Amino acid sequence: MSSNSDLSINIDKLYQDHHQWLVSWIAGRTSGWDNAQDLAQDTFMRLLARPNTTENIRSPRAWLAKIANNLVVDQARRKILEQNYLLALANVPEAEQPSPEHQLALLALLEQIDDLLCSLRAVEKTAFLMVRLEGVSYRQVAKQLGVSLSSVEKYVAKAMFQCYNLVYGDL
Amino acid sequence: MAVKKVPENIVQQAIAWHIRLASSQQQSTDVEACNHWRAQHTDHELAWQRLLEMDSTFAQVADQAPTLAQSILLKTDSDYRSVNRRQALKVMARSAMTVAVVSGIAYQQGAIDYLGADYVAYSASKFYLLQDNSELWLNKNSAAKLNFSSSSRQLDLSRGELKLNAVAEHRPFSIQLPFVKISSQQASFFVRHHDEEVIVQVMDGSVSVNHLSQNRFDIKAGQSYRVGAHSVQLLDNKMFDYSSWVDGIFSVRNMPLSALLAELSNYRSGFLRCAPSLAEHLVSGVYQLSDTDLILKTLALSAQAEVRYLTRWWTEIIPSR
Repeated sequence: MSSNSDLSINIDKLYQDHHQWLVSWIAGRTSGWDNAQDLAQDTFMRLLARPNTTENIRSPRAWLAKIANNLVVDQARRKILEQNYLLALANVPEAEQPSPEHQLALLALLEQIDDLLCSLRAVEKTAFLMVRLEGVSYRQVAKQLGVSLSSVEKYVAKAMFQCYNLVYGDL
Repeated sequence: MAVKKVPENIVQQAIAWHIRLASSQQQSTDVEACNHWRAQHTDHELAWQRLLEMDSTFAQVADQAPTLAQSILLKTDSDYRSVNRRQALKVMARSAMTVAVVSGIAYQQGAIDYLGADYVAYSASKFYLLQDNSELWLNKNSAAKLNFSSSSRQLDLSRGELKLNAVAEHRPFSIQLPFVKISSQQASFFVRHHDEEVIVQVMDGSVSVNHLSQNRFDIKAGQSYRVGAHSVQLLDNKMFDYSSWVDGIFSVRNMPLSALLAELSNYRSGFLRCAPSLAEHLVSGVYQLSDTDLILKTLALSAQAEVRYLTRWWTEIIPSR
């Protein structure tokens, strides 16, 4: 309705005024013009997904740059993860190689986990992964990382809380 | 799609129960108490079920390739941090306008340390002859800033390791660190600044240490100290020659294997560890840093152990079967 059309006008104007600028801004930070176009598109998509924010943006370019920067950073991180995954697979003996479908499914799971655990400190992430993936006991993790048992419990709790908020929290 | 919100404190309680059960190896009384808690309120049960649901992602990976997955995730983390640092530098060099954005993504202090530095060594150690003819070696991942004036020679080590041969002159030579200042007229010494801790080893001459909260003291040739914000500790100087990287080697005497691996891991990417039963095994020798795989092999041999490469960057020394 009226607020809806206001919104689309807002976005239209934002798009017309800043799209070209955004594409070149992104191109300066990542490789490939096509990729920059895609990311600029994604940036505006993000904007559409959060309609309430469009009205009170004071500095559209700074705001667009912030979203775009997050996307560039995410993309870079995904790339590294994928590379590391392929490298790791290359080191697995051929007989033990999972099937291609399996490989893809595992990569998707890894991406999910990487997202869920992002922004944890290295030691927190290590503790959580040791407990949850390798099944190492809390006591052993504490010993191997050289921290107290209660620290390990704290790290795991922090990791779980972050996951919970990313999945069920309201953003 | 609205998701029913469970109050944060209840989520935290659910997590606490989860950890209590996992950490205490499931005392039956704990299980009962947890069941009781879950039955108290629908929100309790909902939070609990969500944790289980969330766990399925991890469970799938744990079933398939736990060690592999863990090493990939941790490697990605550390790779990402270093890439980020490099990118930050690149962007930074391009224009001063982007400073705010850069410091936003450079969430590790690292990038900032490098940015302000005069002398930077990233991937290999570097040698510099300073204008007063003092000799400076910077180890990899180190950054230092020089400040020479008519009355003093000062060097800030924002991170990493250096070895300095300071030549005698009317101006004192000092190294500035967050909570200590190390000064000397003429000396050869090593300084490590890492994680809010400083290690100083003096090879020749002597240096004096001005500590913010401790008494001033001297370190003489042949001594090493570990200096924290609130502590000063004399180290066993014979165990490890901290500055031996200058010659491309590691020189150790009766050093616990785990401690040596910790030092060695600064020179390779990825994870490096040994079985707990080998941690205290004492090692002596001189090792060429150019081939860390060979060092690992030699170390393993001396401990009647073997090197196991789980992936290229996940390496363990474990007892031979």
